[in-house]
This record gives sequence, C-alpha cells and structure tokens, in this order.
Amino acid sequence: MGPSQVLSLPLEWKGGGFGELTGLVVTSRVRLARNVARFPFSVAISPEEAEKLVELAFEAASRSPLFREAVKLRLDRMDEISRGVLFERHQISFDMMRASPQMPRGLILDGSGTVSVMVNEEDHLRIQVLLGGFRLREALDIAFKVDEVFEALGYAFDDEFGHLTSCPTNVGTGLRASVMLHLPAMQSSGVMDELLKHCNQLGLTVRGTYGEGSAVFGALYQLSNQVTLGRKEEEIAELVSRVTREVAEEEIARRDRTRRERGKAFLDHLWRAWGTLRYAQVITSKEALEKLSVVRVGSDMRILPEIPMNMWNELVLLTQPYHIQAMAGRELSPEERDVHRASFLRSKMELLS
Amino acid sequence: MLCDFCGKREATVHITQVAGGKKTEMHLCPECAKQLGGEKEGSFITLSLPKLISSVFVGDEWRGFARKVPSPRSCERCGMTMEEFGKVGKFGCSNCYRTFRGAISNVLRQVHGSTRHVGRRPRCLASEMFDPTSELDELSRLKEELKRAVESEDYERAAQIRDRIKALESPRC
Repeated sequence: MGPSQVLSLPLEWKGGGFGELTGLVVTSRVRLARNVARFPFSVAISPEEAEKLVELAFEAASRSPLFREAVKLRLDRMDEISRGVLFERHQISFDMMRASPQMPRGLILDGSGTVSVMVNEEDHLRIQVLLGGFRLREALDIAFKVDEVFEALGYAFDDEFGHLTSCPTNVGTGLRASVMLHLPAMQSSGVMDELLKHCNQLGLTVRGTYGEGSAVFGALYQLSNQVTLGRKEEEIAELVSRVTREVAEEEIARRDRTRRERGKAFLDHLWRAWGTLRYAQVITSKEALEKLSVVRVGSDMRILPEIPMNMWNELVLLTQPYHIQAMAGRELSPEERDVHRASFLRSKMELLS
Repeated sequence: MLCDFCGKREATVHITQVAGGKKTEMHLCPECAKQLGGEKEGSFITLSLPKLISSVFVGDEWRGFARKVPSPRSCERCGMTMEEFGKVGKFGCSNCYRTFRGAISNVLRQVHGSTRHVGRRPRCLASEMFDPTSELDELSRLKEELKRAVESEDYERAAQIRDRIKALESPRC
C-alpha cells in the first residue's frame, strides 16, 4: 500500500464528533497495552518470533466480525511517506513510524477508521481507539471489545500486577485514556506548568501534540492518566473526563477575559491569522498550525466565520509534512512543501470566506 | 531517618504523591532528590512517574531497594538483570515480573500508589490455554486437505474437514 491509498483510508476522528466541548476537545483516545505470555517482550524478541506474532495477531483479527473490513499492513515493508502519513493521522506511534526493515511490525486498521492495533510496538499489542470529540467512555467500551478479540492469544497476566507490560509505567490496566485539548488561552497566560503540577498530583499528566516527549503544536495538548495500577479502567476514564471538563471551563473563561481586556487588539489578532491562511504564498507547518489555532478560537467565539470541526481537522491534518508530500505524489523539499501548503490553505480558506 | 533511595545519607526532602486516592510518602536525601529531577517546592517535591521508575533501578539508588528486598541476579527465562533494566527501563519478558517481584512491588507502590490490579481480567489465562501456534499449523494443514478433498470430489470427507475447521476457528474463551 502506497501513500495515496493510505490517504484514502477512513479516519473517524477527522469527522469531528459533535456535542459536548466541541472545538476544545479535538479527539478522545484509549490505548490498551497487551503482551502475549509465550513470547519475550520487545527488547528481547527475535525477528522470527516477531514474525510469528504478527501472523497470529492478523489471524485473530480475521476471525472477528469487528475486523471484517479491516486493512492489515506490514510497516516494515512500507515506504517512509506512507508511514509518516499514518503517524500524522495518530494511527501509529513515533516508534512505529521509524520501523526498521529487519523487525516485523504489523498494523491492523478496522473498516471504520476508529481502531488501530499495532503489533510489535513497545508491547506486543497496542490496541488503540480514536474518536473525534469528547467521547472517552465510548472509546473505552470499543477497546474492551477489541481486547476480547486478541485475548485468545494468551495474555501475560499476573494475579497481583494485572496485565504485564514491557515498561512498568503501564502495568495493571495497560490503559492510557487521553484527550487532545486545544488550550491557546491557557498557554498564553503561562499556566500550563501549574496545570501539569495539578494533574501530576491526581495521577494524570499533560504531554505534547504527538504524545510522550513531543513538542506542542498549535496549543494542542494531550491530557491523560499516568497511574495505571490500582484503579478500575472506568474510574481512570472518568477522572480524565472530569479534569477535562474543569480545564475546558478554565480555557473558556480565559478566552473571554482576553477578549474583554484586549478589545480591538484581540479582534485584529484573529483576523490577521485568517488573512495569513487566506493569502499567504509560503507557509511552514509550524506557522500554519499557529494560525489555525487562532482561527479556531475565532470560530469558537463566533467572531470569525464558522469553521466546522471536520473542516478544521482536515486543514490541520492535510498541512502536515508527510500529508503534503503524499498529496503531491512525490518527495518535496521543505521549501517546496511550504509553497504547496500555502496554496492548499488558500483554496480551502476561499471556500470558508 | 535514612534516604529511601540510597539508604546511606540523611533524608531531608519529603515527597508526597497522591495516587490511587492514597497519599504515599517518600523520604530522600538532597542528592537523590536532585537526581530524580524533582522540582523543589519548599521541602516538598513532585516527581514525574517515568523519571522515578527509570531512576530507581540505576546503580546505587537501586541497591537501596535491593538491600531491603533481596532478588535474584537475573531472570532465568530471558536473562535480564536489574542493571540492564536500569539502562533500558523495560523488562525482557513476563517472567521478569516474577523474578523481581519483591523489588518491583516497592517501586509500583511508590509510583502507582498501589500494587494490586483491580481492573479487567482476561476470560482465560495463558497457562490454561491451547497453544495457538500448533493450532495455526493444524488449521493450514486442514485447509490444504480440504482443497485436495474438493479436487478429488470426495464431498463427504470435505464436509468433515470443514466442520473441524469451523470448530478450530470458533473462539474458545
């Protein structure tokens, strides 16, 4: 499968999701880390064993109606741009994107673009459910169903410690429940460190746009649980949801305050971002995301023309470096990408103006 | 009071972390606290969990724990030692948890506020299960046989094989 085919695969979260906290919660994600008892963990597994594991996981998926229209991919045999596109879609991790051709690594994507199962990541299986909008509980219920599909492989499970994971930070439930939050007003008021401290106290954490150790783009932050042991899955999802609502409320209050305090200067800031996206001839992905973040605020506050979440998600996603190259159908230099990106944004913003 | 990590120096930094609804306390000497990357906040510091875990197993700090709970030198299944674990921060196989149970219990209590899993359990455990590899081989063998039976128009035999394949393919637990 090549870049253009990967681009056309379904992707649920892009549709936006509707309802509570639209615009503030971009996506809801649940991840379960699982290992198969008979095989050594990722640091000690041989390529032959890894090959067998991919085969077994694909076989297990084929037997389930959940994966009737699934796509099964071998990342170790895929080109770089295709892997990059999957990473930017949040369907594989940074580690999986950098797959080496020596180690068999599989990916199972369900027909609705909701579920992705990575095989031979840090853990044997990383079951991921990704939905648009604020729908953590729904994501968790889907993950439980997927979990049952693969447990026939014989999970590494301990009576006391629960699900055994390669790294002890994930042991127990193996669950990471996270939401992608858009927090520009909190970011510019410099309270993110305070929020992180508060979250740490509750067994939660805040990370960058692409997960652990990644930078923050366009004020997009991932809020997730850090503690995985000693709490039920439902409790973890509920705690993350509760804090999400608190943080969102704070963000809204800060946006309103900024508008009151800065008046015309605030309106100018919003419209200038709109103007840049609408007319720029050359734009980096960093600047594009910064400006997209600003116009999101303008749309949420009903100051700028409305940008539906499905449209906004598409703008964010399709302006990423690998997506730009996949759409162009060839490798592009960074300078060429900036020109392609600006032209793409102009054409889309024209439709919104 | 001696430091919980090195067990050598006097503990002067006191950490409280709220995890799993419980408060856990840790007492550290300034050196260990600094190495753990805790941010000083009065006499209290907050620690990031991955940093704590990866630091716990390295060198001298690890020995502080190891002395309290003696563990074997290496995992008999994959050969991983605690020193190697300290370097990569990942275990080699599920048996490592058994091998280093005492020590890992201490760490898990510090970082998760608990050592006991209360979430979902698989409906059947690996030890009670069939071997999926041999079953997979059996399945491909049967499918070959089915093809041959159909080719030789032995439909009675084909029906029998089809039933066996169906039985193998239906989920067991």
